[in-house]
Amino acid sequence: MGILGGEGFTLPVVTEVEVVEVDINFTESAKEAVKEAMNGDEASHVLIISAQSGGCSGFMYDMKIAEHPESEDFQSFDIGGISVMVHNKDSSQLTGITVDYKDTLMGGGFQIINPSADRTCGCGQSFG
Amino acid sequence: MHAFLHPNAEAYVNHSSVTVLSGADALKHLDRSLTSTISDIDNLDKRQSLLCDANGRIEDMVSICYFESQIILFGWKDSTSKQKLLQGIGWNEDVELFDADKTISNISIVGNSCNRVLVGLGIDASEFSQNSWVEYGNALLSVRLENNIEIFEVALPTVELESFLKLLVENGCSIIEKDRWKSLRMQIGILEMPDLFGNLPLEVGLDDWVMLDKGCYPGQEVHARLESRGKVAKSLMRLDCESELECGKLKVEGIGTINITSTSLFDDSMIAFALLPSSACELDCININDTNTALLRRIRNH
Repeated sequence: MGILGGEGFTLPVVTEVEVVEVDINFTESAKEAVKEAMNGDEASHVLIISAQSGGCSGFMYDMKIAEHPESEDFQSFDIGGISVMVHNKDSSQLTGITVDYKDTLMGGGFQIINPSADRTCGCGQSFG
Repeated sequence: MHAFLHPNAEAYVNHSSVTVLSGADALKHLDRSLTSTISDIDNLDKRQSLLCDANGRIEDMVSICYFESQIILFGWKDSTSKQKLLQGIGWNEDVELFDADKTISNISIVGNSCNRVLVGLGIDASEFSQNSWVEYGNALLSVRLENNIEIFEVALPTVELESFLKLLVENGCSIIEKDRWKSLRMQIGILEMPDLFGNLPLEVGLDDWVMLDKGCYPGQEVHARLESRGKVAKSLMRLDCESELECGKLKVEGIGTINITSTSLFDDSMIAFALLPSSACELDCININDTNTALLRRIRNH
């Protein structure tokens, strides 16, 4: 049987995830930067913004360019001809964010301003 | 030989919270939340780590066993850690989390002749190391060293707990309850959640469970700042005195406020763990009040 082979393992009770209608804003510089990163794949690919555990403040932002997910658990937006998607489970944490892009040598790149965050870490990639 | 330890061994069934994580991204997911790195863990490796909040305060201490590509996590906070670990699983991550509180049991065995007891069960304790688990039948065994005292740890299916305890008793081991364990663990210097929750790792002497070079984890900024400053405002110490003490905050003249986290009667004296202002930690003793003087000593020597 082994220590992991027995019966009786149960999934922990999960607090139902709050799903809200997501509202995301992109600055002009962020739109330009996303378009450049897409490199012409706008028709087949989307930008997925998500929140993962970790970082100094508890959660980290993640941005990925990926093939359009078939799942219905995403909310989709059109930002200047580019599809941006957010998973429903991240919706309450990410609604209201503004995605900005700073073209600087130090601390540059995409920056997320999140009015719902109680705290953010110094590097700006983590929030809580 | 330690006078306060049983001549053979004593076993205590821990009331720990057991969680099993599986899936291709389970290690990555867990690694993001812990104060130490586990991404390089191998089969049957053992790691000890902390879950902290964004202010660097300890929320749970965990002992980790990596077994057959799954992670068995022994924590102490009932459901808080499980709930916390459920959050922040990425949309594209393969992580499943199982509650194994009722399925896997966890026993601590300590005494002057644990080896003799374990040999009777066909277990060779010399095979154990602090950093790994050894498989014996359906059980996993390991050892931890606290202040040069060996504490043997056993994880086994709960359905086999009763027969395992019976075998221990037949080989000269006593099964102990909470009060005796509390007294033993305080004598040895084992910290549990009442001593840790809400405190900083550096304050309770668990800085060796924190890896500042692993990158960001919740609380890392605070831990790094404390480490660079090289000092903390308070430290957890052991107090030995004659009169009874109660858990909670206590004002001590000339010292300031101390926070007593655990107490236990041992023979006719009292042992307490308490957070003291760091300036008091170099003293040999403090006067709790007019009639009660407590001897001070460090809890963990590492």
